[in-house]
Amino acid sequence: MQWTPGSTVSSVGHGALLVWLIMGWGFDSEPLPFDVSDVSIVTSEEYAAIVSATTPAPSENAPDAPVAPAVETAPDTPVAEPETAPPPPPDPVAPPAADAPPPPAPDALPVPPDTQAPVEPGPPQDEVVNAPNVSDSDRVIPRPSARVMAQPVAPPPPDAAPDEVVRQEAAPAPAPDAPVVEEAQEETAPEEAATEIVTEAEAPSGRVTETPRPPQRPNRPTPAPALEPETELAEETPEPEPEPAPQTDEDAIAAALAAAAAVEAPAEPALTPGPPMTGAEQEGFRVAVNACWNVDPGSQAAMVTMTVAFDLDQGGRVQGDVRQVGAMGGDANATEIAFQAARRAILRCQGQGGYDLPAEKYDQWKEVEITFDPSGMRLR
Amino acid sequence: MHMMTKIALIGLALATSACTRPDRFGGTDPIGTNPVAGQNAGGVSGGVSDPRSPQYFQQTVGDRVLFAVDTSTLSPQGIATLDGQANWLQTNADYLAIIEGHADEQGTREYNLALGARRANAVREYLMSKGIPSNRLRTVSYGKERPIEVCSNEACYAKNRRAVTVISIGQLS
Amino acid sequence: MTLKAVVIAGLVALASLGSALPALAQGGPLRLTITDGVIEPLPFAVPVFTAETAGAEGLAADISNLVAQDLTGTGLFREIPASAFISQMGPFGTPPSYPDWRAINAQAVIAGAVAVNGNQLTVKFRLYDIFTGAELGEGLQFAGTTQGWRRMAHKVADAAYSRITGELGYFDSRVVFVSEAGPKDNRQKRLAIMDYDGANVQFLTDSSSLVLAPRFSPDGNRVLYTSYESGFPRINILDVGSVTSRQLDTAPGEMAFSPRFSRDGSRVIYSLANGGNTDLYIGDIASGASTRLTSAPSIETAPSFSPDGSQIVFESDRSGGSQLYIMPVNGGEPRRISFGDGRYGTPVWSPRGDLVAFTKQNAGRFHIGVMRTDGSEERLLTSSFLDEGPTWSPNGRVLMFTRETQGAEGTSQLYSVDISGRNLKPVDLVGGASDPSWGPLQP
Repeated sequence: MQWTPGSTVSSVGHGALLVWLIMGWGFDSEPLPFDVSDVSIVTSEEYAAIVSATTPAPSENAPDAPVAPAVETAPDTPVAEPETAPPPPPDPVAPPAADAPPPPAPDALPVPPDTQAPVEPGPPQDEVVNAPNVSDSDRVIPRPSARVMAQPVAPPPPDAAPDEVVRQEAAPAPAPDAPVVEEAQEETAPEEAATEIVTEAEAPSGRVTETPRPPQRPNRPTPAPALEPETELAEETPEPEPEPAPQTDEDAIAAALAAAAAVEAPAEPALTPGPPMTGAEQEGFRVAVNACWNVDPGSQAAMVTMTVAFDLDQGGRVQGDVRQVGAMGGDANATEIAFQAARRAILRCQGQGGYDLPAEKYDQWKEVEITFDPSGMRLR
Repeated sequence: MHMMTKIALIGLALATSACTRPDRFGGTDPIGTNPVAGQNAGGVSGGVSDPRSPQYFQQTVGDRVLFAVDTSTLSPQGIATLDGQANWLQTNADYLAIIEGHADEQGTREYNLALGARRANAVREYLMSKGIPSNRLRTVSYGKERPIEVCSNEACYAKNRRAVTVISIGQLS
Repeated sequence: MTLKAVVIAGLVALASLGSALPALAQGGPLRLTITDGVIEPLPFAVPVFTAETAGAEGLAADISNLVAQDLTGTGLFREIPASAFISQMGPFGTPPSYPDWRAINAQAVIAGAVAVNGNQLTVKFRLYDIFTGAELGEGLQFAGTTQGWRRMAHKVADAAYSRITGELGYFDSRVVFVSEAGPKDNRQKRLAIMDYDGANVQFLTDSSSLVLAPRFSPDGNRVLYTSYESGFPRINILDVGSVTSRQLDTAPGEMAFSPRFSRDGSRVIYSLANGGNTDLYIGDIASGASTRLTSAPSIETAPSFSPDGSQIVFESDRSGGSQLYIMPVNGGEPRRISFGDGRYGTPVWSPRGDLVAFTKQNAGRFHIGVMRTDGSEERLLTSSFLDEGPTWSPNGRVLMFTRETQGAEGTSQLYSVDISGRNLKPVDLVGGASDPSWGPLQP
């Protein structure tokens, strides 16, 4: 059975390499015209040998895999920050808004070559890239095509042709990268989507329809009931902060969720440093991270509810790295992919200026814990 | 001499089936209102007017019965046709029959194959109940693979949901 | 003190400690929950692979194009066109200029080099994660012949896909199907095999007799199919390498059809019709011995094994309309899993084991859908005049199926769709085609 060894790729790197090695051995027995004789890892030494053997190319081409990236990264990161910082349009809340204006050429991404650092938050042609902690070229403007997002970009077209697809072209710009689909017959993939994945089969019904995001917080327990048991335990302390810590590891996530609900609720935590963050302030933060959390709902990683923690400096920028503090569902491989997606979301969406958070309430948000729960988005 | 007869019969059977096979699923004349070209070349005496001819069986007796959607129940009209087929097969005891079951295109390939088998069997059992020996009757299902009408609406579907009795002179197996 | 009491005491202690912590931490971390991300293709770039020998330029371009095409075709990735590139790649092995790629929002860059010596082809590639500014995995090299360039490109794409998504790819795989020609009332059918993307079509049979529903063996070396060669439906088994076939021994019956291999390839499960009644049988391919699995007056057909081989899912109209059922391979009571409106057929168990794909017929439309093996979470992915017969990609991510258009001019085509319901598209094939069966990732 070729297709079930999930464990074979348990580690994306080495697992894949093992598979490839096996493939290499198998090639000889392949009866088809394809007669691959060898597959191997290219080490720098081997590579140098190969290059010099197959081509007269100078061997300085030989890569220094381990070293190169490291060297590259180091200068990159620090330099990036100042260089990109110039016009600090700290507008993390902007992305959703910026999403609406139709981009000119969807696929073009024609960032002028001279614009080394596209600090310009203006023409939102491209989407935000993953970047290291200090991102330079990042922009908080999500690309408005070929995507499904929480905020509806445009009303779904009526189910006009009963015979055919419910083809949601909600995004203002046509999908750039679905040419095949687009020109293919009447029935194309519901590529451009809005608030939800709309399959061809779905007119009014279908499970994925659950995905669309209600204006406020979906799928979350209502603050009140969630708080109930917690406050009971916490009663003895004078701490009005409606945020009890998890009792056990098992409960960690549940408690975190409840706590999140509590925090998100327009609660009145009257104590502690500074005034509490308002619901709007938290919502803005949440939406900002939302926009960069790219979920592949068909993947195993979409089975994982991932909780990560990180620290912010006074400017709303991530300090240090993003840490995984909890994960539920999925195997190790899926968990890793889910963590990367969560980490990427947080780092990408801080933009150049950091998250837009009320400075006077820094103590409220200098530490952040975010739970990414794809259960409403995934298929299974 | 006996041997010669056998050989001749086999030859006839081959000729007949060779002639009928390509046409029996369709073309523009599914019901066979025109004599099938070349049919007479088989040497079996002639034409629709001859009550012993396959053409007579096809057109006068009627070689097919139709079914309602997703059923294999014989209709009164179908039973009348099969009564005629049974009489004819009684009279012409040297003919074998293969009963082909068909379905319309609404349905999966596998299910329609099974449904066609049901329909063919319904016909076979009825003919057996009328005294035709089971070893003269075979069944086969084509599911939705051999429509005679190609439109995608009920007018065509009704004609495609059918069981067709295809006769040939041959040996009892 | 009972153990229970100890546990409770511990919990209480933890709870009070926990509630004290926020005060120490001045409120503790801000906790948020995010439930709505975005779903969008990941942007990547494949600069044209470096030609390291004279004359390799053409293949280098072809291979890099095909790698990009494979990835883009999943719907999970979006290729950034070369016209947007700020900087070009240096000689193979030189790390990319990360800021330049970040600036155009590339999240992954695939660099490669191609060398040709006679008909020997060598392809190397490296995958760079622009986000982390490092290589993702190590470089790989493939060697083969120039004729096999497409497979080598597929392997590069599979490796990139696997490293980025954490799941196996499916590009270097083949599909066996029925090639169709001629009008609806005189359709010629023959078995054919193709690459997953419709390239390299080869015929396995002629069209002298009707053939239906081929099924790949798990190793991709053999094919089971239904043939009318004898005048009656029988199951044939074909060796792909030698393109020779023979009729399989089955239990005696009027017709045998709808075969499928067991997961170890040694057995075949199939439908046998006798006296108009269709039931399921399982047979040993080597010995030809068969065992009957169901004995009901209803139709039982379209069986498919679970990945562990212990169960089968099939369709039956025992309740009236056709529905899906699961039962142990060794016999036992079938358990119905489909309960929605309409009729269900052609169930296929996913390679991951968690889902069943099926054909659904309801209110005059056909759908390809998936549900969990307990029947929950049914989702319909497509809708058309006639969709049927899904088959899983080897990694369980994509379904390929037959779509037939209506009317006198109606034709069949192969389509594929991501299990999220996105990325529905026709397979690029000339001529009609039906009944796809997706083979394994090739060794």
